[in-house]
Amino acid sequence: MSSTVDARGLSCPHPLLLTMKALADETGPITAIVDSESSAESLSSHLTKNKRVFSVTRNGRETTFQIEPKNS
Amino acid sequence: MKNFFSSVKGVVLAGALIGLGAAILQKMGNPGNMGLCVACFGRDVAGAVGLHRAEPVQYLRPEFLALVLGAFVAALANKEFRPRAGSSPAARFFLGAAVGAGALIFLGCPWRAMLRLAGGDLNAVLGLLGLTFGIFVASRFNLKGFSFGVSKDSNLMAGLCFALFAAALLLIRIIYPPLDGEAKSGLLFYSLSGPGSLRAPLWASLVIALVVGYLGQRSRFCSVGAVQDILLFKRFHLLFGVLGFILAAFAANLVFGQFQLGFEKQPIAHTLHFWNFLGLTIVGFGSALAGGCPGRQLFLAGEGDGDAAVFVFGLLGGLAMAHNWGYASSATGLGPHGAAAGALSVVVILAFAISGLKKPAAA
Repeated sequence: MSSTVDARGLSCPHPLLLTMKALADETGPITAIVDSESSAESLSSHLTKNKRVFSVTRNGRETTFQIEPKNS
Repeated sequence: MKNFFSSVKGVVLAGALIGLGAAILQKMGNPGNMGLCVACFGRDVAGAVGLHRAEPVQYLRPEFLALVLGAFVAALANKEFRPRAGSSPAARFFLGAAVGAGALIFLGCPWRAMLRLAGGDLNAVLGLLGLTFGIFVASRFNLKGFSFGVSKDSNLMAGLCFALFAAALLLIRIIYPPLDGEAKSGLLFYSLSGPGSLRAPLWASLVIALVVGYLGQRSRFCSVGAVQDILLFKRFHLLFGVLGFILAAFAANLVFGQFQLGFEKQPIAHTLHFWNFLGLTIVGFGSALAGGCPGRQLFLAGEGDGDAAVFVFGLLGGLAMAHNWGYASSATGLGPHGAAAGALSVVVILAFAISGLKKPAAA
């Protein structure tokens, strides 16, 4: 099952924290939405460091991360 | 994501330049191990405009204002200026005030703790341990779901007002410069002795702090985030920036002859280990709940975050009251009401932390 983390309007460390929590109990692809550049940067670098496969789409200030399940 | 300063190399460079800038400002006249200090400078700014009347600590520190303006310019230039607010502003005011109390019990914000360490003041070790402990406590609350709620996008002036406020104060500083032997110049108080009388030239303060503000905004440099990211995510990114800061300041201090190892007779510091620890525990706990160290709050306020601006106003209030009500420490030790203010600050932050665990009822 897919799930969505809406971290818009939240400040550090919550966007990363909520996304990592969702990844810890993942059962399918996860969508994470952030609306600050600093959150997008930290999320991107942290997912890369953890060898997660993800794609990024941008819409104005919002950045959406589509994170693939771990063993796909 | 083409922001060089958000890379590891970038954040190390930014941290190193900030540390170097602080050491240079001290060399050029700022007080000992206080080239840059958000708490001390906030206290001096509060004194300069008469919010407190402690004569040795009154000077409208241009650095405090230029940090905001540098971040504002960086945000504007990189299309990151974004007016926003609404995440429990009043709570953030009181958190800022409590953080101000903790910082003046220790005598410095986390930046100054790092500068004190880089200058050989071993009392800073107790402070930094306390800071880490405070952030650890906050991180447990964050893990359990603590939140101040979401902020919302707002209108132009709501985001711009804090940078304009900083610019206006800077203008007042330029209109009313310090006069030889005068404790007042126009609207502003000026210390004739004590830390407030030790100051780098206006142009140096402005140039260095504008650059630091710019780098701070681009790199997301945050002394509290550095520790919290490790505790929560084993993410060392910001720590590299902090290490760059300390090492650059340390190296510059050696070159400038500003290094002196020991606990005793350190500039604007006391040797009460427990209170040095607790002072920065308060700062770490409160700042981590608010989402950034006092310096980071200045940068955020510059980029349009109204909640961070309210935190800074609370900080200024707490710093001013520290002298009005005698809870600021001094080189001789704790202020007469330092213990009471420290205890109250812990209770206040804890109350916000516990209350923030409960999600508001759905509208």
